[in-house]
Amino acid sequence: MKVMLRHVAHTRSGDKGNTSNISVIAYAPEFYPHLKAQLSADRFKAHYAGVVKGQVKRYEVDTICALNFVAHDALGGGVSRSLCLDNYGKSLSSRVLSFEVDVPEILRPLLVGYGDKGVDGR
Amino acid sequence: MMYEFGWDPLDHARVGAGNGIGHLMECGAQVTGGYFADPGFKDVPRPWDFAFPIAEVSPDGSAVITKVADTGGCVDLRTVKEQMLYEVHDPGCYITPDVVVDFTSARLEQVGPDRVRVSAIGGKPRTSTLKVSMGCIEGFVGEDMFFYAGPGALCRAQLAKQILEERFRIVQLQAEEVRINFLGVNAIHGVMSPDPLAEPYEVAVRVAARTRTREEAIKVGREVDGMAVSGVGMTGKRVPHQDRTREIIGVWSSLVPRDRIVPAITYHES
Repeated sequence: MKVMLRHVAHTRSGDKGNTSNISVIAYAPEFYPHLKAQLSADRFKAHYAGVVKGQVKRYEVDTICALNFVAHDALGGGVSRSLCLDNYGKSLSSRVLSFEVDVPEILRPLLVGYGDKGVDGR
Repeated sequence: MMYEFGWDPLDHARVGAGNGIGHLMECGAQVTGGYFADPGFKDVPRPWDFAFPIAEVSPDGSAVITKVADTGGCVDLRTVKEQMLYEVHDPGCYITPDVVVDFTSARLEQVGPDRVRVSAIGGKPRTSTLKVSMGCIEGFVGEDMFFYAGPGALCRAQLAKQILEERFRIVQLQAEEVRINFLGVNAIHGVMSPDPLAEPYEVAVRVAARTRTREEAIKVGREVDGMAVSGVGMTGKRVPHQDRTREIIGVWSSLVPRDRIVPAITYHES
């Protein structure tokens, strides 16, 4: 079944100069292999087309079921130079929440905030 | 931690763990539920009453991350994981002045309500260089906003954008970059933003330009002033406005050999 990433993982962004790092953390370990297989650095960059202008590198942290994307040339020249209202890119991590992920139907009960499951599916 | 436990400053295993714990504690309440809530997905109790984090550190460099009882927020595996990777590039080599931290070996365990035990953060010897960040005077930004609401708001905003672009051409604005966006439509995520499914009831037009001189930056506010009387019908404006120009201090970072830096502390009393 195809779902938005926001049902599968949570995200946070941070900045260093003109580089943004966006972590994508699986809500459940069962989701992690699917994220790892589907959310490549290239697909991540394509999802941020027009904003992330430089290279994207993906780091895998298997112990916490997380991917950390480091996106270069992503903050309009850097915090002090950027013309974007969100010059730190603090809201950038919300973009990847709309990435579509294919997960096995059997994992439906683990999806967070999905359908009749109600809020925060813990 | 080094003082309390008598750690050798060059004991990279322990100093690495300690530095990792320090990293979890940074940015106020970010590990206790700040910068975290997403209603229906990540709900946070009483997010108006956060507590600063507490780390109960053991001599081996493990710790329990927690917060004061009867405060808002939460400490759980999700908040700790998010904060662990916050502003980190390579999680296996997080370079700090004192040590290179390795988060990839870390073990996290919820050991009670709002209590997460963190252990096995690793450390590697510090690098031979230190980072220096230099601020350079690089020019100016001129920016302002004006507003539309009701039926046709977005169409009026689009015409206003066209007028501004023509006006900037007529007054020969010299800018390195100009950005004209619609708040509520595309001002935050820029070109990534999908077209709105329905017309927004309100739209703010936000315009910004980066220029070499303050004189050029001032043109932005001057042209926005004109929008109230010579622009589009039903244009809302902020009057009086604040200073609409700011100077840019651009940051350039570089590495310098550690042995070229001699630490010194000087006290000045007034």
